[in-house]
Amino acid sequence: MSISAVRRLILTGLLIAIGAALSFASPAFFTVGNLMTLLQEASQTGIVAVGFTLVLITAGIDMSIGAIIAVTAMLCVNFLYYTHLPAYLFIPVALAGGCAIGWFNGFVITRFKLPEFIVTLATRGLLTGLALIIAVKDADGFVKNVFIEDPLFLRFGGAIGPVYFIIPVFFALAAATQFFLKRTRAGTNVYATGANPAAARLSGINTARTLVGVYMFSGFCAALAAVFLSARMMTAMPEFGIGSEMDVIAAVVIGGTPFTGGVGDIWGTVIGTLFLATIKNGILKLGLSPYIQPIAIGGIIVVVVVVDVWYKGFAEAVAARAARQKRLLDGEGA
Amino acid sequence: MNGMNDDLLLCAGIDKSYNGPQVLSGVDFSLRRGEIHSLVGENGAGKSTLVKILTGVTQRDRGSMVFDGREIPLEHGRTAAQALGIAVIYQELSLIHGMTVAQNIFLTREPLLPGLRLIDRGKMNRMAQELIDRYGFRLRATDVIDGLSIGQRQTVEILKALSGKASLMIMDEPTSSLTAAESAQLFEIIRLLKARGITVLYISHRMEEVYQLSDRVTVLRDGRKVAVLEREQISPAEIIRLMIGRSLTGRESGNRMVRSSGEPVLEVEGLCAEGRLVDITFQVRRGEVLGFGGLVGSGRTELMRTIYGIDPFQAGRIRYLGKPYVPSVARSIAGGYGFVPEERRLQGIMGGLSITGNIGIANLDASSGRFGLVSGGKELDHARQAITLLNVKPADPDIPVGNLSGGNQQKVVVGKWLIRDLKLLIVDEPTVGIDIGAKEEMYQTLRRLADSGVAVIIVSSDLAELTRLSDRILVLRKGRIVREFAEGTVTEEDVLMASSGILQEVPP
Amino acid sequence: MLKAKCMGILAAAGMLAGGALQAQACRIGYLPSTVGQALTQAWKAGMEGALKGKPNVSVQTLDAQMKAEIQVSMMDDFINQGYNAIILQPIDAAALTASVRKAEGKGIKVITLNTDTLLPHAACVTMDDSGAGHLIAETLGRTLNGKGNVAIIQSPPGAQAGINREKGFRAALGKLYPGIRIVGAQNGEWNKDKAIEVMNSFLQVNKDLDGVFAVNDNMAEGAMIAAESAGRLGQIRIWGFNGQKSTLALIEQGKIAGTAYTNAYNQGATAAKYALDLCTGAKKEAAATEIVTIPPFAAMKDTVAKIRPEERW
Repeated sequence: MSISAVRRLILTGLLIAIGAALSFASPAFFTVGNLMTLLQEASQTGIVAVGFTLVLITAGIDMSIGAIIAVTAMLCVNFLYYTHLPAYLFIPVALAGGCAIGWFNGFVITRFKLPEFIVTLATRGLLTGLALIIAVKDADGFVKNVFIEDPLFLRFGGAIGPVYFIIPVFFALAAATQFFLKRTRAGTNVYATGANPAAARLSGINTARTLVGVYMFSGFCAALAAVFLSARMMTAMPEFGIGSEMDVIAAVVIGGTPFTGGVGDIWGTVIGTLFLATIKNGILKLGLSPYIQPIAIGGIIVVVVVVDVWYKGFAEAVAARAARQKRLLDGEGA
Repeated sequence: MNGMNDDLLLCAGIDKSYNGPQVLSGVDFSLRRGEIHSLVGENGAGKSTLVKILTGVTQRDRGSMVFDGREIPLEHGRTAAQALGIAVIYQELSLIHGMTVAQNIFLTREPLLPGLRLIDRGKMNRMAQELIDRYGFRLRATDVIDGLSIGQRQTVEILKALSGKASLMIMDEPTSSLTAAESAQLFEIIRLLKARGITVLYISHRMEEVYQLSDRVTVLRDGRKVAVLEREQISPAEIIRLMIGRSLTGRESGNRMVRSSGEPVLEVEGLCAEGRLVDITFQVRRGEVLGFGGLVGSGRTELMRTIYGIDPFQAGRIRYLGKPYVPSVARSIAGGYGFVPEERRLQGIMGGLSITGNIGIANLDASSGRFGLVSGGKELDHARQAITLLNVKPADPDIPVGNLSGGNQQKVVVGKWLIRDLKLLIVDEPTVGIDIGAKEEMYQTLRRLADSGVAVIIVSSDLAELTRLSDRILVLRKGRIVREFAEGTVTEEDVLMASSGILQEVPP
Repeated sequence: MLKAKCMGILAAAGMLAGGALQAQACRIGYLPSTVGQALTQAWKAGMEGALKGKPNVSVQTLDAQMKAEIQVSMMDDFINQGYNAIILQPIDAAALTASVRKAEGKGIKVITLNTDTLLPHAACVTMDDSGAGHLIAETLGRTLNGKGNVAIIQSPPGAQAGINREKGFRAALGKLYPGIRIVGAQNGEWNKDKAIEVMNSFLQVNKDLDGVFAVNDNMAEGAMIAAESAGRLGQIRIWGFNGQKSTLALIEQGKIAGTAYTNAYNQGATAAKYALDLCTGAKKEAAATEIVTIPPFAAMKDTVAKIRPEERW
């Protein structure tokens, strides 16, 4: 079994163990209501994390996801509010908005060969301002977050039976993306672009097009999450999503996709997301202060990264020793 | 001369210059179908440029090219080259880590499931294994690249080219990181390719390989084609003569070697470093210039780094100034033992700092007073000293070193050491990237240094420089000392022959 | 006959027991925008005071850390765990409406503090934002003799309470004191540090600044600090809103001109009493939200002494 499979297994085991421990420690944890809430929270972060995983596989980063959530949420709410058109039109508008912003990110990064961190940070600033500008204002010019009563919109934020709608959407998205990554040429190109862009280009891969596509997907996922968020809260606020980047990054990193690129998959991200949501929920259920959440998450990230890095060094040392043995057996050659 | 349809490639009158000196002039070059053809020449003779033109990485200025009967336009680019079936085997440049052999072979050309746009993994692995087995390699299609040795990865590169229907395979110094067994395997592969009608263009410094493999050899020198030898005419000695072939004036017809009579400053005995050096024994004495020659990859720089204390070693003894010495960089610096590295831009200077800064940083102990505070005045003095001693131009201690010319930068690097009470100085490639005038100055500086009693070790790939500067020359090959030139006259040819393993000698 | 009597007694006993059970366990959830502010802590103290000694009542506090998404999430928590009543200070009216509706749908009584949500729920206990803003404008205008430059330090976008205070202020000035110009209005994020920044920029741009209205006390204190450092505190009349202890002290020292004091203990206690009554059935929920407004009190240097120490929070 490959290292990543082992890692995933360990993580899943830990998740189950922690879940079990929490169930014993707090009676409120293992109830249908709470688990559904937990899954809903996880899905909200998870949808964005799926897109972010692809970005990370290409060794890039997208700092604008929070702002994309804000703007696309504003976009879809304003659309509903001003036009009173049926809600099934608004979803494509919001998603298209997310793709457009993602395209913009990808275009600037590849065309001008600028670092991803800087470009997406700049976009973030632009979008944060844009969200405030397009926000619905009342007669005196103050931002007034409007309340949307469209029934389809409500359905989005609601549940089928006890299961929130967002949960199966998240898992479906994750499965589809995993499939895409592992079973299509385009998916292989994403890995190649991240692992060794020079080699990828030499092999004929259009790395620029791959990168633009990846950032578009990231924007799409953020927009999808925004639709669910505003549906759940029946409104959109310019502050939506700001600060959510940390949770997304945590979920993806814990799930086993490193910043160095070329490796990673969606299953890891799914488990990482569930892990994160469980920890956060558990902390509250145990009655601890919510301020412990970021400390716990930070601590986990540090441990995860240290173990990953240590293991990588360990594996390389083992491989190097094996190679040297082989050389000695094959005969001296320097 | 054979018929036209036997020629896969015909080049005539190829010219190329990169905004200045002419890199290739009027080169004629041809390849026959199904032959193993070697391209040889010294560093800078133009081999890699010719390869780049063939593969479309760069474009020729003038000259005609006909491949497989088709005229190739001047703008011939990479995609066109690939489409024609011209493949280059790089060391590791075009493999994707984290993926398997099969994935790498079929990258962007993966077989798809019928009707769907999904990769047929089973089929891909089968096709890859088929290819592997056809050539008799010991690989599995599902092996991950990360776990393969360099030789095996090279094989994957070759397979990748084969799967793309290559008709010409260019291999550039393919054996430099391979073990002897892996090299032998590679030669087998090459012969196999030839048997299947694929033309192989082989570029190497290693004469015995060229001798073993080639059907024909083209020799380049200073950007011109000097000769094309058929199989019967190939002999390593002849090739070397053609490669060097300078008209020899009296001065350069040979340099006298001199045995120094000073006390030994550094004594090395039985030094072994795994994978790099084997049983190195030598001494360097006060006032002598000891030169190390050898081909690229023979271990010269590795030896210098090991005796200086940068890289570790597993066996052997070193004595410095008569006392047992365990090399460490700090100890070496403190003990008057200096090292001027090969890549001065990377390892020798801090381009953003001034001359004073650069020299100052290397000599903080000399310019700081009590409590470790650095004296700006002392630093300036040191800088001025160095500038005068070495004639650095412009003579301004505040200029950022990055703005100086290559020659002057090198002087600053050397200058760092002059302030100290030097006993031994190692200089790796003293004049690389420096123009002729500055080279002369550097030679004089080094000579003066030796005359003043410092032991100087130089490493140089420039044979003329090596033979001119050195009082004694040791030649390395594959991590061992294979020859010592300590008396009589030595020519560049002699050194090159020894480096190539042709003039062996039983050590005294 | 006997069987019926037994059944009757059993039924009565059952109802009494049930009633007694119903009179028991009232779990109240308290969810302010953030736990660390004087105002929200005062509310809590008021609640605890009102509920002291009442049997089987518990109050659980959660911190929304100033983020609407987190507040919605915590509402879900309360709802899932079957709380009986929630006392909520919505960070944003629209954003929390769905949660309030969900809670009410499950029979949980929701009482909001200061900011109301858009759909009917049990009750809202609020300061008189608009009215107090009006009052402050009247007082400030009078002290300035109807002429001068005034700046406003606002609340974050969408914070209805702050918006209403500002609206009341502007309306009054516009109507009563047209000679007073509003030269600037910027978002102070409800906190002191940001208000210092905002005030500094006001001071730089306006060489003649006569008055500042900050829609909460924290921001008023920040404005005061900035004005003092610039040496212009003497020429500027600063007004805040809420009436927290620290600000009252500064009013006594003459550094801040005044604030609209609301007895937050009272407000919290009122909310808690409503929660309890609705819980036990002593009060019945109406179709529309019952709005309870706590009247403000203009605390200035000469009137601040009227606020007793035990009323200061």
